[in-house]
Amino acid sequence: MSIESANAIELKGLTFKRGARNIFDNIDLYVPRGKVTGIMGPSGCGKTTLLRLIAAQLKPEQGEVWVNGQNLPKLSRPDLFDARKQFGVLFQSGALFTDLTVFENVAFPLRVHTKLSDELIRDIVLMKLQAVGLRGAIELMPDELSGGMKRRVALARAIALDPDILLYDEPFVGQDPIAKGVLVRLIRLLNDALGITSVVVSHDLAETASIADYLYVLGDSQVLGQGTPEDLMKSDNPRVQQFMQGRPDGPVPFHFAAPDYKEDLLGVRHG
Amino acid sequence: MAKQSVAERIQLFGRSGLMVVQAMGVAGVVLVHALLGRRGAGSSVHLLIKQLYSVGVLSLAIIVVSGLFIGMVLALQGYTILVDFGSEQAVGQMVALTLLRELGPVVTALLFAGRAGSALTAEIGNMKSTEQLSSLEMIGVDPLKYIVAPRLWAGFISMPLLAAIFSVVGIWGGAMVAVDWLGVYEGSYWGNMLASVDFQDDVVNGVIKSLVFAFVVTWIAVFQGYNCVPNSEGISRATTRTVVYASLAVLGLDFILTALMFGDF
Repeated sequence: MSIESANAIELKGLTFKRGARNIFDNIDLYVPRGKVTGIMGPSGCGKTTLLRLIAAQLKPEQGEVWVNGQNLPKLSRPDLFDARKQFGVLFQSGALFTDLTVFENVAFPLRVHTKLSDELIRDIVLMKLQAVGLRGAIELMPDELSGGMKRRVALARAIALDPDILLYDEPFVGQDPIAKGVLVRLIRLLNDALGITSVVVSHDLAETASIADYLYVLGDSQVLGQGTPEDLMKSDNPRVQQFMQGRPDGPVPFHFAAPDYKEDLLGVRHG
Repeated sequence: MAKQSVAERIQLFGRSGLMVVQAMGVAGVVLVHALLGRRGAGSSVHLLIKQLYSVGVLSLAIIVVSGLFIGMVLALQGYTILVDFGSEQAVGQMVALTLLRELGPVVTALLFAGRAGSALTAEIGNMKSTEQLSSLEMIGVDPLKYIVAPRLWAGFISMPLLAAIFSVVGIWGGAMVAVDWLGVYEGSYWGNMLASVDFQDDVVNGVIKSLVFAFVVTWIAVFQGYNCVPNSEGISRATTRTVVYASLAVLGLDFILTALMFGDF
């Protein structure tokens, strides 16, 4: 795969296990360059795990993770840390450094990876904060921000080094409608304005479908369906349909696997 | 829970043994990665100075106060016993030797584990649970170099210094009680001390002990934080484990070191 390939990220034959449980079983997943790709699926299907595999924070049992021409799991620890500079990641919690101000948080990647002068760093930080609309919060501490603002500061930090690829881990969870709208707009805007590749991991159907150019639906350690949001809405896979329509019961059962209900009520107690 | 057969119990015992060995292996890898190899992005002396302050300088108060009281108690107890034999003049050497050889390094290490070790574990554990360590990794900064290494070095550097301060303050507190209060002749308090304390045997051995304790306590503290289960229960367990393991390790190692240094084999 060359750097100019149409895909920024290619997962090939990926298998990952937690204990005896198969999280992913031999899946292939391609993320087109310059597009917003949504990765969806019910909670607990391994979406966040997939992000961590892409960023090589977890090593797969089998398979390859190609990012811009490098197979990340095969890199040495120092090379891996170098390779990670091409990523910006927005964690679910924001993960701001609590002992640093908003300014220092956004300046952090610039300080550790560049030798820019203080004035230049200040200008870049101001521009990044302006992009997320929080230039006025520059002197605040993370504790003084609301959840939505924290996520926007984290986003400013994630784009500080102008990454090639932005990974979003559940960006809409726990956000009010206004904050959600802001984030949807920002994700689209940053993707198009900076020409980067975005991967949005989420189970918020409406928001993700509204910005994604391409969608994957995960479940059962497999890729259940893929395509544009419109394609998936028309999918004939009943599991994809259940997810896209948000039906509580269907091929994905409402009940977690359990012994027979009657037997459980009348039978011998556990313990 | 169903009753376990003997075979299952043996299996459980074996598994916990393997887990201990595995944890020690991981701890070793963490240590090697943190201290050896090329410098990571973002490492700087500035980080070490910040940690020296929070680990070392902020522990000064508890070390000075404890040292003072322990020195005073030693002088008081020593005097009441020695005066029966008419040798209360030896109280200075008794206080000094006890502090330099044993109590200085050991009590400092125990207090350090409680004051600074638990704080290190809780801080690193909290960073882990709020994904700050993950986000450092994703920014391309190795948390072992950026977070763990400066804390380890700060512990190594500050604990022997704290132990020295502890002993000095203790000897001074002993003098206050013995000389100013109980009326031991000042010349014999200091003179006997000077005559009997040997630089190599007592002072250097005490410093060696302190260095070993510093290494073990800080290592346990940062590893427990780095390796904790990232939720509030996991952090509280890890903090407890830091204090318990570090204290036991210090007391056990103290016996071994004392036997090696002063034992007559």
